[in-house]
Amino acid sequence: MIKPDKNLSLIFAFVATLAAILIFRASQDDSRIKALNVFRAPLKIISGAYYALQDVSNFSEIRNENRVLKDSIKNLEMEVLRLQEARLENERLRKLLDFREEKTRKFVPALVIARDPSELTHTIIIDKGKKDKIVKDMLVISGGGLVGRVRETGWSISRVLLITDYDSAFSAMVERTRDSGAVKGVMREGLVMKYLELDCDVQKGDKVVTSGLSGVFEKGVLIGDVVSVEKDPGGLYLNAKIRPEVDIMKLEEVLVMR
Amino acid sequence: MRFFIWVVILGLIQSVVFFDLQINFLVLLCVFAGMRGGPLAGLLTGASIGVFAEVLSSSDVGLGLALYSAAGLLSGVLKSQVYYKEGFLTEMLFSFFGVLFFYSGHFMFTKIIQPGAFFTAILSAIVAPALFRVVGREVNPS
Repeated sequence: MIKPDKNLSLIFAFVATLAAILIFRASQDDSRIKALNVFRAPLKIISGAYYALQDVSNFSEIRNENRVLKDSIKNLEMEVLRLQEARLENERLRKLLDFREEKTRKFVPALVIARDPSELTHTIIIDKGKKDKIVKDMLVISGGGLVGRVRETGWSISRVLLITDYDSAFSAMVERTRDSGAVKGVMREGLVMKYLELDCDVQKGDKVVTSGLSGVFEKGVLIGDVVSVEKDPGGLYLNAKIRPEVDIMKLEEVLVMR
Repeated sequence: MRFFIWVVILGLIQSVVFFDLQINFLVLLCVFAGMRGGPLAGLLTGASIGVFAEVLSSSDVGLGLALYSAAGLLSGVLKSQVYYKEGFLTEMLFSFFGVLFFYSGHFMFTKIIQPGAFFTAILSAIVAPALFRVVGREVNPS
């Protein structure tokens, strides 16, 4: 049995814990992200050291990859020349048709310095914040695919809600068939695209992109590809399982779309 | 103090390096504190780990704090009032049920089932004896 004096301190500690929970609940929404700023330096040191160790251990693989990338740069340079020609032609034609100039996007590169250690949510912490003009709801991408959106911003740190989190839901469409639905995160199991019409022709391997209908994500950002399609248990619509384009569990660097 | 440093180090490492390993080191530390130091040590350690996890997490405010504290407290109460026998098996059992309790508590509050929670509990239980020895050599949470 617990001794009486220990019992008293146990009750006191229990009450203190409850009080702490209440204080947390009552505190402002951005208090956690403000507190997180304190951990920025140690998180950056640990993540930097970890990424460096990873690079050293994969040295031969990186050397081969480097060779392949150098070759592809040469090919891409040719492609850039061809596209520059097309851009100039496009500009000329736009002027002829009196089109308005589209707003150009800026990308802010950021390092992933931490994740939710409890794994109760799929969120990452990046080393860029308000001082880099990052604001809530900005889109985050990596390697050409959608990663998530900025949920909270501190002065030099931000929290990003990944697309695989349960709280993440947005409208999307199948690139080939233009069928639209809602993509929802299912944590480690990836993504599910819901509310597809029963008669739609969605197949395995089809690319899924954002539709821009929700107003949060802009149109045409690649999400992933369809792995399987099955009928919803209610039988009213189809659900497609989607593999994200980006390996969410291995994110190191991301780009924030400003 | 040295135990708190362990909490911060393991927390930071888990949030940067071991996030895809499916071992819940933070719950294991709560269980360890409860087993070695009793309910009070378990609760206080759980609360400090909870505060740390709250900052890094974006789950409902207070949820992490409550769950980690409860895991530490439960481990201590089980040790002092229900059953405790020194050895690998007890450590594995406490760890397995501690992690499972953590995810069950999360389910109770959010109605969200964590995929792979059972697997995480098994993996965490397997590594628990080794972790307890490494941390135990350095610190005594009581």
